[in-house]
Amino acid sequence: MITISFYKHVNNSLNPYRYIISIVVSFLISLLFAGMLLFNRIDSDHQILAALSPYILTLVESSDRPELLRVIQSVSTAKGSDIILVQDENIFASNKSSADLDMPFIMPKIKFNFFNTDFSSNLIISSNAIERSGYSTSTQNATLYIMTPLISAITNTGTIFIITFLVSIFISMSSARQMRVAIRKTLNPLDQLHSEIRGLTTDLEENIISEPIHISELEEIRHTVNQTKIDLCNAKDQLAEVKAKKLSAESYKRLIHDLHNPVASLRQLANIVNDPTKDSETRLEASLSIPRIADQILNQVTAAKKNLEEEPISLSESNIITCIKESINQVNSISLSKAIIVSKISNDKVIIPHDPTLFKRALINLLENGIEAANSIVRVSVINNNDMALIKVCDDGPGMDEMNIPIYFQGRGQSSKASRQAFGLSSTNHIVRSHGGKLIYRKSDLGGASFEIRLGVI
Amino acid sequence: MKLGMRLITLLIIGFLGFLFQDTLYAENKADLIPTYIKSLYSLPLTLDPIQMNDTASLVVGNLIYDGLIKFSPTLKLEPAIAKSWSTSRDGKVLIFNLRVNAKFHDGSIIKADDVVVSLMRAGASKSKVNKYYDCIVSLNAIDDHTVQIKLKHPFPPFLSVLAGTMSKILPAKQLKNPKFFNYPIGSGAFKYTSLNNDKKEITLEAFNEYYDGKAKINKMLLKESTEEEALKLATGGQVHDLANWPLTVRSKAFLIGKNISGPVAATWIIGINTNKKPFDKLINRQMFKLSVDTEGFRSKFYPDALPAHGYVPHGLPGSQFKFKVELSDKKLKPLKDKIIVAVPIELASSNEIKQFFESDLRKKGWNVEVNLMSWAKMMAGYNKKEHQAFLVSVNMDYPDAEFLLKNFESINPDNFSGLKNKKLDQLLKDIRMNQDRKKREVLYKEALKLTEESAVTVNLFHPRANYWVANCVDGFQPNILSDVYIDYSKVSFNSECINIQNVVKK
Repeated sequence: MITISFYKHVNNSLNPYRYIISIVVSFLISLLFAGMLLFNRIDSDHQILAALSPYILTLVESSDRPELLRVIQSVSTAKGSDIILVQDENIFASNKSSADLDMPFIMPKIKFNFFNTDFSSNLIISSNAIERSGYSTSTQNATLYIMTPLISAITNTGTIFIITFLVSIFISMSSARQMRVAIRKTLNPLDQLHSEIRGLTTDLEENIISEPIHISELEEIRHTVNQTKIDLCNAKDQLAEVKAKKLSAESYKRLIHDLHNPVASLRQLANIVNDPTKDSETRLEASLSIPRIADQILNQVTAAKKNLEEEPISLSESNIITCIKESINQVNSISLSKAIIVSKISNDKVIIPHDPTLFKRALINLLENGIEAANSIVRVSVINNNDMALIKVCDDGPGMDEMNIPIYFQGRGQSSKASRQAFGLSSTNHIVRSHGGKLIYRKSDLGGASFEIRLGVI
Repeated sequence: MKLGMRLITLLIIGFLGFLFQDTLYAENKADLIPTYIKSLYSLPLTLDPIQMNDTASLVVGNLIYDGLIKFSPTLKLEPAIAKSWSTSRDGKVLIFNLRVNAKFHDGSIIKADDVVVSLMRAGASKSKVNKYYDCIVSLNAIDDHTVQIKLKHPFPPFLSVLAGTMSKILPAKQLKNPKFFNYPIGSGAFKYTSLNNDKKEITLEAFNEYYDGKAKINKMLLKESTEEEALKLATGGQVHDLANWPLTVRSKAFLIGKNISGPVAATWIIGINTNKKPFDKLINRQMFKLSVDTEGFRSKFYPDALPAHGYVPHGLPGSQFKFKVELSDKKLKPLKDKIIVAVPIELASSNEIKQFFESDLRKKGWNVEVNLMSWAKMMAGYNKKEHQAFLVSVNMDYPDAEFLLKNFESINPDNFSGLKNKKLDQLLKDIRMNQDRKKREVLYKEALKLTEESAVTVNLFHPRANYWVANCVDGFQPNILSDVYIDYSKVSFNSECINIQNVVKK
């Protein structure tokens, strides 16, 4: 599907109207100007006839052809038209050849009449009867004609039409061009809103300070989007709370489940101790195991109690890479070990809902274990698959007995170094689980332990 | 060394050739332009502008001489020797500024003194046109190129008088020479070159230093001939111009030439001499005037002319008034006294005209004889007021009815009718002094009524000129006043004439 920008859409939609309107308006203006010019020309002919008539009448009455010829010649030269005075159907005076004088006047064939003016195929003919006002009929039977060459009038009119058209079209096109700029400018607030909405969806944690749009509808949209964002955040918090409670409940369930076997084992050992049918060696061995299992149960309960105190309250959708980097920096800053932490982490954001404080604690536990166990190197890497993030902490230390891993994960194990450490793995496991993830132990390719945290990606 | 000299010589010749190529080309080109041949019904009776009262003299005068101002083809007043002029508010003082580059044909610059002397001469008693200048109080040369004319009273047609053929400017110093007009020096577009031995042809040449640019025709030959001869010459391709002849559209000459038609301010009349019996009596003149079949004459001989409803040509102030002479006693019969009507023999249909008048008027009881005579003889009789009646075309020197009416003023030596009417004299004085167009119109009406009632003219028709020119002639523009005022400096030949000339030469 081909998509275009909103600006282009608006521009393309307006284009036909813009150009058609320009052309139509230019044409109409030109027509108006040309019409005015032609009308003025005709009107001017009539005005000259009206103005000349009284004087011409005097000259006709006194039969002063020489003076008439002078006047007619002068007006004709000034006007660029032929002027003919006809008396008793003969040409009495004319600016044209004197050969026409006293010859019959032949009226050009009239094609049509417009504004009280006759039009022949090549002339605009205005006429006026030469008569005294107040007389019912002409006293001299004389008529004055002004004959303007149609071609010159049309040329003038056409020239004005073309010039006006060109000027109008230039102005219209310039204004159409300005309209494009205006459209682009008009769409700026929309672009601003668009970028703000895009910012709202991508930079969830950032508070974007935007310029006022000053368009009420767009401001309302922005307000609605902001409100929606706030509501969404609240909903997420609520969801995280519910999820945290659910995870907490699951932790209890898991604890109960984890306690079931050692307690059952304890009861079995107690039954063996109290069973007379058992031999003494068996009963002694059982009695000796009871305190050990009881200690494990106490450890597990203690660890569980501690872990449950650290249940996440809310999970925020933020970049977990930030959290990993901060954890590495923190461990590096306090570590006295000669081993170093090497990170293979890209700068791409990996957005995972998590509690940064708790998750950092889980990572720090793994890193501290790793750096204590490692000979020289602890490697941290992050693999981001489509739907899962894999955080791996590997070391080149002696590694751990895989059989004891569940005991350590459940907090029942007893560390050879410090009891704290046993709680560390249990705590990490608890935190990862409480984020809906999974902690997996493997043998590291470096020769030591490798802990993988698997978390779902948004 | 010799080779070097030859090369240098060749280069010099080549360079000189390059320098003079335009001149050589111009001379060759000038040779290619034919002589413009214009037929006249008569050679000029005089070359002195102030003695001219016949068309032939006026035509030649207008080619040789220029005035301060001139008429355009449509009677607009245009600058000539004077580049500009102004009139005072009261219309009594006129100032003319002369062109500094206007020259006479002898190369001398036209100065204000020449203007003063020429116009004073025109107003002198010996002048046949002095009647037009009697309003002048003084003529002054303010400087070499400025002339001031003061008038007794505002005279509206005075500028037209100055544009007319009688107001030509002549070189003052040369006028003292008694034989000046045998070989006149003017300032017009053409200069007088020669008169042939049999006194039938005058040759003119384009004046190279004419202020308005040299005429496009290099040479002009004015050839005297009768109308019949002229038509033969035209059809034989031997003349270029018959503008001096009153041709009708039916003339066969137009089959091979251009007809440049236009109205002219002229009236063909039969002039009546009140000093000759039986026309000394008003009733006889009136009866005779009413007896002539003017419309029959016009339609038979000059059908394209306009009927004459009065003395003033159509389209000029006064022509709008139409009067009809009413006889006091309609039962009166024509007298048996012999009446001789002089008619120029040069007219193509002169015999038919004679027959028409004699036949028609005799039928009506008049004892009429038409005497065909040469133009010169007729004009001699005209000047001596010998004719009882005569057929002439009255042309106008300026487009104002006053010009025509003045012919009937008692004190006018050119008053061919011999009419003496004090009321008319007074009306003419009033007309001259009145600048108001409408008031002048009223006065004209009265004067024309008096003239018509006096029956001193039988108004035959107002001619429409049909000027014949050869097809190869361009730039010929008729003038409403008459053929006298046609501007020949603008007339030219097209390539057709030049080609014919080349063929003839080869």
